[in-house]
Amino acid sequence: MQPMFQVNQIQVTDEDIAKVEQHFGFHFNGDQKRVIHFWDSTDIQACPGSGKTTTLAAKLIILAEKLPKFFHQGICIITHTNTAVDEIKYKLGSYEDFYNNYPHHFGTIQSFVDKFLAIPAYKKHFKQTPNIIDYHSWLKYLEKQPDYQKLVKNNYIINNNIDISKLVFNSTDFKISKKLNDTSVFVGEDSDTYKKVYALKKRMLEQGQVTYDEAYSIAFSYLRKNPQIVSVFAKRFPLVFIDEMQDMETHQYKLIENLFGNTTTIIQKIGDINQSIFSSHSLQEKSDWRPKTSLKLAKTTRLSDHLAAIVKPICLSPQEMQGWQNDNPIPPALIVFDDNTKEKVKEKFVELIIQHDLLKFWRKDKPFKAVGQRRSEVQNKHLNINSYWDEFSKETSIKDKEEFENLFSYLEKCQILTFEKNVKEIRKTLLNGICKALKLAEIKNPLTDYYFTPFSFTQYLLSERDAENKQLNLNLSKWILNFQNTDTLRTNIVNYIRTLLPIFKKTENEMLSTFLTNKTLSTLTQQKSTQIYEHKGIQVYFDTIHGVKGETHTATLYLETFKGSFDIGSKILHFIVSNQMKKEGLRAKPSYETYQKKLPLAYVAMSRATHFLCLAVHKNRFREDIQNYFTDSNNGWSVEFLQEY
Amino acid sequence: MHIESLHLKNFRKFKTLDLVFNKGLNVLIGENDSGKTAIIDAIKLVLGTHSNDWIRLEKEDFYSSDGTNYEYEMKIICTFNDLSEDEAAMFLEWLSIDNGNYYLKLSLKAKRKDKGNSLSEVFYDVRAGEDEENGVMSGLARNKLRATYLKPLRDAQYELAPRKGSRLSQILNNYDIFQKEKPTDEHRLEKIMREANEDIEKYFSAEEGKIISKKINDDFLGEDGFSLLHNPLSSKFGITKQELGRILERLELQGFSTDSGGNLGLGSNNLLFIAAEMLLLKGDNYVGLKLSLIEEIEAHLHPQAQINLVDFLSKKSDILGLQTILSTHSNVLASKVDLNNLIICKNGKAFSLRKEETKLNQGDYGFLKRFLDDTKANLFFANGVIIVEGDAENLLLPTFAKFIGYPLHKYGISIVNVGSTALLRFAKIFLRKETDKGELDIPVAVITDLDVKPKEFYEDDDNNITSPTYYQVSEGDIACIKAKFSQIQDIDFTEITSEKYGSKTEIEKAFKNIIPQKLGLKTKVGKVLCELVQSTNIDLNNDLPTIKNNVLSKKMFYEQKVKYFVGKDWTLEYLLGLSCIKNLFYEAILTAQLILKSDDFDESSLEIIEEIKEIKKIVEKDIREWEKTMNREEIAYKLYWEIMQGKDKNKTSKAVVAQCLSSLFKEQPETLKNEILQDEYLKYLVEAIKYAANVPS
Repeated sequence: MQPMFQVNQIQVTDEDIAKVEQHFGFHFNGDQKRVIHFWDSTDIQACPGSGKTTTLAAKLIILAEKLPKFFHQGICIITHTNTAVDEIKYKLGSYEDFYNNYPHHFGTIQSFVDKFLAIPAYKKHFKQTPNIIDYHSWLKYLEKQPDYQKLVKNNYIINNNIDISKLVFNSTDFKISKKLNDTSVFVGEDSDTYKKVYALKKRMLEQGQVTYDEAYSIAFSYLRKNPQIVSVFAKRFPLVFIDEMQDMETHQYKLIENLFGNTTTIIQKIGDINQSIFSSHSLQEKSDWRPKTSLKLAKTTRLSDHLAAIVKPICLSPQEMQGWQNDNPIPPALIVFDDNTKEKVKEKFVELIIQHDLLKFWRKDKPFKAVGQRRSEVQNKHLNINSYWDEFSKETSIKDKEEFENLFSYLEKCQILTFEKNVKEIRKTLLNGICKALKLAEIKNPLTDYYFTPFSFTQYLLSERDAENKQLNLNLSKWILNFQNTDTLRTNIVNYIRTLLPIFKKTENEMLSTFLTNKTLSTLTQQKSTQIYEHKGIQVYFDTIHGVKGETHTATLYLETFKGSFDIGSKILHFIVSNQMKKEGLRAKPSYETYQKKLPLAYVAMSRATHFLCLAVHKNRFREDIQNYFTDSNNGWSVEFLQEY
Repeated sequence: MHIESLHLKNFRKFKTLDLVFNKGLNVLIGENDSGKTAIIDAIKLVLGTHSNDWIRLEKEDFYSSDGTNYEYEMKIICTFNDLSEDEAAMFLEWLSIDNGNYYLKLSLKAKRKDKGNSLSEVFYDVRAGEDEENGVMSGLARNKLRATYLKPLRDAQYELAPRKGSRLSQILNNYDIFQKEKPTDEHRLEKIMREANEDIEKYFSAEEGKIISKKINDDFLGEDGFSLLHNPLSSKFGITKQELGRILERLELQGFSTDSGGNLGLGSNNLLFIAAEMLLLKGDNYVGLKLSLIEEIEAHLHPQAQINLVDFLSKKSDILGLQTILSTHSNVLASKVDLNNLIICKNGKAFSLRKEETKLNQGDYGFLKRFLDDTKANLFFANGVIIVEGDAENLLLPTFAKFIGYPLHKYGISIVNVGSTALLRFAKIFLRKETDKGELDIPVAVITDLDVKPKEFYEDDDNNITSPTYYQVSEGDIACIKAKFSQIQDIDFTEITSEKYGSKTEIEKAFKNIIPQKLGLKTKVGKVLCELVQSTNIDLNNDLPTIKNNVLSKKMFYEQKVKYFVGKDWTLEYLLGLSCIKNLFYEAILTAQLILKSDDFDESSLEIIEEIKEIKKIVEKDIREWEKTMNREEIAYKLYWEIMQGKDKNKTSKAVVAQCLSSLFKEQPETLKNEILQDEYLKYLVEAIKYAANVPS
C-alpha cells in the first residue's frame, strides 16, 4: 500500500511559492506566506484588501500540484456567493478545471447542500428531483394554490398576523415554523390550521417546489436520519476551504459544524468577522463565527496607512490592519449638508476628487463610488440614497428574471442577452416564453402531466414528435441568429406558438392572447438601472453598501441614511469620537445594539477606498461635541460645509 | 461494493427481469439464446468496461414479442450495495440510503424512433440516484464503476503480447507504482532501460559491435558512401528512448509450466490472461467496483482448467472482494458450482437458485447439498423432470415411456431418483418463492406411491396384524390441548377432526401445518396430542376406501410447475399386478428370481433360454388358474406381496424386477400400448410422463 497522503503534511517550498508568485505577478507578504504554509484546521481572519482571494487561490494552485495521482478524495471549496466563486476561479486561471471536476466541489454553500444533501435526500424520498428555487419563484407557485388563497383568509391566520408564505419546514425537526431555525411549531400541530398549512406545504414539497432555505431543512433532516453519513463526508473531503465565512447564516454555520466539526476533515475558514453584513431579507443580524486563531492577513494593499488607521477601530472586533505607506495622504472628508443641499453632496464629492487630483489613481476596477445603507423604498420619507440622487435606481436586472407577463418582455430579455456570446441563454429564454404560452393555454406534458419546462418540452418533442422537433430547432436557430425584437419576429413566434395549440388539442384563450399581444414591459422590467452619476467628466457609481462588498474604490463617498436610526450622524461619528473604553462598551454592551448593527456596515463602506474617503452627514446631526473632534486637524479629518448657492 | 440487482425492461429477450446477484460468484447457465449474453451486455451497457469494449444499442436490442414489432422504450437498472465508507464517499452526491445502508442506483433508459426505412435511431442516457430521469454522473465517477470484461472468443496470446495500447499495459497503468509524481522523475523501469541502452550503445561503439557501426558509418554513410556532402549522415545502434508508458507497452506476460517449458497452449494463455485481468482489480489503490464479467468461460479452457478457475472464484471471491458474473453452457461446469451461485437462464427469464429464492427450506440446502450437487446439471437443463422415489421407477420409466410413445431423451426429460419418499420435498427447488418474477418453466412430475395397504394385507394372518387401526382426533382431544396451550385458542382444527389418519405421525404432520411457526409450539403440541389420541379399529370395508381417499388427496400437490402423480393404490408393483401388464410383471418377478439365484447370468446360454421359456409357460398357466378363483385385487396381492416380497421375509429386489420388466417391454406388440394408455392403474405413470413431456393429456 502507498502511504496515505496526509493533507496536513504538505510541505510548501520557497520554490513553490515563487512559482505562484510568478503566476500572479505579485509577491506574497509574511502573513500570506504563513497562511500558504499552514495546512491544518484554522480560522483565518483577513482584513479588507488583504489579498485573501489571491492567497486562497495560491494555496489551491500549490495543492493541485502537490496532490498525488493516487489521491482519490475531493477538495471542497465553499463560498457564500457566486461572486466569490467567480473571483477565485478568475485567480485560479487554468487550475479552475481541476477543482471544478469530480471528485472536488467548488461552489456556494447552497450548491453544496443541494448537491450532496438536499437532492439525494429528496430523490430517495420522492423518486424525483426537486426544483430548488429562490423565494420569489416559489412564492409565485404558492400563490397559485387554491388552498393558499383560502388559508390567507383564515381567521386564525389573520388574527395572529401570520404570513403563510413565510412559514417554513424548520431545520430542527421538519415541522412547520415561522422561522427556519425555530424549534417550535407556529401553531399547535393538532389544530386545523396547522393541518391545512401542512397539507399545502407538503403538496408543494411533493411537487418538487423547494426554497433555498428549505433545502437546508431537508439536509438537516437527512443528517438526523442518517448520522453515519457524516463520516462519509470526512472520507470524501479531507480538506475543506470556506471563504466568506463571516457571511454564513446560522443554518449554514450549523450545517458546516455538523458536517465537518467533529471529523478528521481539515477545515480552513477564511473571512473578515468585521465585514459580516447580512442582506435585508435575511433574518440574520450577527455572524455565528467567532474566529479563534492566530492566523491572520493583516496587511492591506488597498487602504492607505492613514485610512487604515482611521477605519481599523470602526468595527465590532478590532483586528490588526496595516495599510500601505502613503507619502501624500489626503485626509478623509466629512461633507456636512442640510435639507437644501442634500443633492449637492455628490457634486462636492466630484469637486474634491478633482481638487485632490484623484483621477490619476482611477482604474476601471477601482472606480469612484457613493454608497449608503438604504435606498428608496415605497415610502420614501426617510433619508436614503435617492435623497442624494433622485435618479438612482438599481433594480433586479431583467437578465435575472425568468418569467414575464408577456411575450414581448421575453424578447426584450433576449435582446439584452444578444450582447453575450453564448446563445444558450437566448434559446432558454425563448423556450421559457413558449412554455409560458403553453401553460396559459393549459397545455401539459402528456407524459408527466406537468406543465412543460424548456427541458421537458424539447425532450418531449425529441422523443415523441419528430417533425415538430425539427421545426422548433429550425425556428430557434433562425430567430436567434441576428436576433432583433421586431414586430416581424414577434409575429413569427406568435404564429409558431399558435401552430402548437392544435397538437395538444387546445385553443387560444384570452389569457394567451393577452400574453402574445401585450407589449407593455412589466413595471419591474421597465426600469433600467441608473447607477452612474456624471459631473465634470467624472463618473460616480451609486450603490448600496451590500452591493460593494469585496470591491476596491479609489474614493468612496459614504452617505448617511436612515434605517432605524441615522447611521453616520447618530452612530458612527459618535463612535469615532468615543474614547477607547467607551468604544469597547459600544461594541459589546447589549444596550448599544443599534451601534452594533451599524458598525459592520460602516466598516464595509469605509474600507473600500485606496486614497480618499468621504462621509456625508446632515448638519443637524453634526453637533458641537463631535464637530470639535473632526475639525481638529490632528485627528486627521477635514470638514466641508455645503453652502446653499 | 457489489452489484446487488439488475432490473431489465424490454431488453432483448427480457420483457422484464429482476435478478439478484451474489456478492461473490454468479454463474449464468443456459442454452444458446437463453439470455445469458443479454444479462452480461446489460451490465456492460450501464457500467462500461475497463477495456472500453463498445456496444451500441440497436433496434434489435429492444424487446419484441413477435420478432417483427420492437418496443420503443427500454430500461436497465443496476443497483449496487454494500458500499464501504470510502466507496460511499466517492459516490456521495448520487448515493441513496436505506435503513442506514448505502446503495447506488444506475439507470439506463433508451428510446427508439423509427426512421423512414427499417432502421431506427436509438438514444439513451445513464442516470444515477433514485430519480431515474435525472442525475448525470460525472465521467470520472462512472469510470470507477467499470467492469472487467472477458470476451467469449478471445485471443489470449494476442492480448498478452507487447504492442501499442496492449491490454497488459492498460492493466499495469492502473497501478500507482507505474505513475510518476512528476514528468521529470525517472522511474525505476526507465532507469533500467536507460542503462540497458547505454550498455548496448557501448557494445556498438567500444566493444565487438564496433565493426558493424563502423561499417555502416564509414562504408555506406561516410564520405565515401552515399550520404549527401552537405548533409552527412551517421548512425548508432540502441534502443529507442523509452518513456514509462512505452516500456509498459513493451512488456509481455510470459507463462511457464513444468510440463511445457516456455510454450503454453491456448488454455494456459487464457488462464494467464484471466489472472492478468484480475490483477487490475487487485491493484493496491484500486478503488471502485471489482466486478468481472466473463463470457463463455469454457472458451479455450479445457474442462479441468474451467473447474479449477470456477472453484477458485467461488472460494476466493469473498476474500478478495471480487464479484464475478460468468456465463457458460457447460453442464459439467455447472455441476461443480454451488447451487447458490447458479442462475438458470431459460426462455427470456433468469432464475437464481440462491436459497432465498426457492421454496426449498434453507436447512434442506445444506442437507441435500451432495444430492443436489450430483443431479443439478440434469435438473435445470432438462425440458421436463420426473422425480421418483426409488430404483424401480427409475429403471422402469425410460422403457415404459418409450413404449407408450414418449421416449424421455427425445423430449429432454430427466429422471431423478431421490431414493426415498422423505426426499421428495427436494422438488421444491423448482418452486420460486416469489412468482411475480416468473415461474421456472420446467414441468416437474413427482411420482409417488399411495402407501396404503389393501384389505387383503390386513386379512392375511401371516402379516401378524391383529386388528388394523386408524386414528381420529376428537373434539375432546382438541379442547384438551387448547386448555393446555392458551396460544392456540383461536385456531380452527376442524380440518383435523374430520380426518381419519393411518398413523400418529400423520397427525403430527397435519398439526405442524396448522400451527403457526412463530408460536414455537409445533412439535410440542403435536406430541401431546398424539398421547391423547386413541386408535380405532378399522372397518376394512367401510373405512379403508375413505382412508385411501384422504391420503390420496393429501398427497396430491400442484404448484407452479411441480405436480405430484400418486398411484391409486399401495405401491407401484401392486399396481402393476392390478394392471393389464400383470402377466409381464409376473414374468419379470420369476426372471428376476432366476437371475438372483445364479452368479453368472448369461441370457444367451441355452440353459437360460430354456428356463425363460419355462417361465413364460408358468406365467400363462398360473394367471389362468388364479383368475378362475381370485379377484383382481387378490391376484395383485399375491403377485406383489406373496411372490415378489415373500411376505416381507424373502424379498426379490425391486430394482432387478424393474430391470427385467423393462427388457420385457422390448418384445411386446404395439397393441399393448393402447391397453396401457387406457389402463386405470397405470394412468398416473402415463400422465406423469405426458406432463413432463409437456403433452396435454
